[in-house]
Amino acid sequence: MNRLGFLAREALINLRRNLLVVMGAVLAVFISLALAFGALVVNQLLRINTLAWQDGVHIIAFLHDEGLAGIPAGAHQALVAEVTSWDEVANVTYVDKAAAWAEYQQIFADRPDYLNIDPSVLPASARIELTNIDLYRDVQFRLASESQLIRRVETFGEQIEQLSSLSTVLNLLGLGLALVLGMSAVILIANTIRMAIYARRDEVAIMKLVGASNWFVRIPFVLEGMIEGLIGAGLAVATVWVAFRNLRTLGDSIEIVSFAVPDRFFLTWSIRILLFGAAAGVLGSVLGLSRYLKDEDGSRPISAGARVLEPL
Amino acid sequence: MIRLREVTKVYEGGVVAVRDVELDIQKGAFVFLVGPSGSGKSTLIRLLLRQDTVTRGTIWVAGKDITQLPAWKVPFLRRSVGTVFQDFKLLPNKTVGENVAFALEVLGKPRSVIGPQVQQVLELVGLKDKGDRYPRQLSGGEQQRVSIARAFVNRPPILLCDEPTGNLDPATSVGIMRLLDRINRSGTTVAMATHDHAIVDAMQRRVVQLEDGRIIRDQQSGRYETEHVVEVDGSVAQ
Repeated sequence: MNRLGFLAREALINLRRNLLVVMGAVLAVFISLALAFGALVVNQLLRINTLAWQDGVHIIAFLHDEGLAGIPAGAHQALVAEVTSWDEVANVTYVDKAAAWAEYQQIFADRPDYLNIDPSVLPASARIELTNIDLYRDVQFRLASESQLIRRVETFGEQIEQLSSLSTVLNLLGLGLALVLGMSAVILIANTIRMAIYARRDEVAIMKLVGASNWFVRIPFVLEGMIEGLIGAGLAVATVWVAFRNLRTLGDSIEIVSFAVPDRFFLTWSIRILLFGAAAGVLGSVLGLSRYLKDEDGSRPISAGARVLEPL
Repeated sequence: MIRLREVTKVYEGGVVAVRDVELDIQKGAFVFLVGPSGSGKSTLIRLLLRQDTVTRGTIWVAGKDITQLPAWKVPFLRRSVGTVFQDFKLLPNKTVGENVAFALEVLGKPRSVIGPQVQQVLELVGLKDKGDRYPRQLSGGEQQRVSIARAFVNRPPILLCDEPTGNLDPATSVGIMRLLDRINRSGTTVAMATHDHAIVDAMQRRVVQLEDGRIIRDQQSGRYETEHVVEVDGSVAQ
């Protein structure tokens, strides 16, 4: 416990001594992870507002009424059973004429003039949810072949495709930027660690003289990188949370867009971002120490500026 | 306690620092390593600490061949060898007590052990009331005492000193030597590289003289310089 306390204290001393450089590294981690987290949230919003926009329904097949010429009673249920068995289909909901009328009334409850229609004109429909949205054309074609029963097929595939490609572009941009900035953050952390080693070269030399093991000397520097990564990630998580909360409050007045990203999504990704930040910090530290990680063989002292450092 | 056999160290560029050195230092001994600058004294100390590796030969410290020691075991060697240097190597931002405690902290000793042990060793070196001072507030002699306290706080069986009185005036040097003598009398083996004629002559301990990396004299109860005796016939014998 005492040893852990000593290592943590040493790491904090490192952080305090190079405050400006540390702030630079933290800022780089913060920007890259905020971008990555932001891109993830935007992507999630797009998913919610596309795939979930239609309550998961990707195709609606409007059906001719049973009892009409050539359409026997029970034909609707037979079609629903058949479509349900297709591999591309995840779920089929049958909405009969009565349910269609009830839904219509609900939708236009505030427009009584729209309700003066003959309910029998509203067709029954099969609302189809696909296993994979990319297959909507196949399903659309197969349904069309049931021409006798199908009145009209409506898909949301094209709109979803457009939004999906927008989401992909946004994701790629966000993640590309995050990757470049993430790499610069790791390099900055590595640089911070090198400066810390140089600033503490006397202490490092004394620690080694009195018998500190190599890892004991290295751990405070690794901890320092990890703390920098964690602080940057923590700031990124906090910023995206706050920004999203404000966006959601603003979005409450816009009915057609949903901001209902589940808290669980935020929590899961916040933890992942924090872990990623810590890992990036450790990676930066290890890179920073790499030059000094070679075990000492005495014949290759490492020069640091005008001084000579033993390998850590 | 320390045994060197055919030890040679050649640095890059072909500079031979130590050549075919054979040396035995018994447990509890006090040995002066003397010789001009560049004679190989400091290299010998670096080799004993495994700060450098030998080019050829074998070194045993406390029964272990340190030339074959894997790098990860070197810290364990250094825990059994205390070191004192001419420039004290104290941390300026730590107090006297913290500097001494540092040697125990890096070994992971609990606080309950560190406190009393630091107090005890500060008392031994005569600085028990100066634990809260910073090195800059101390004289050179006091700083060297702190350095000795840090080297000895872990009670190592061997103490290596590289010119410990090099930065001190003669009167202060005597105090430091008294301290080292006291530590030696407690059973610690002390090997000390020095240029200080007066101290070597006054202490009358074993003297190992180096020149161009070779041992040219190994004398019990010796003096710094070889004693020249003028024979009756007028010739000079050593």
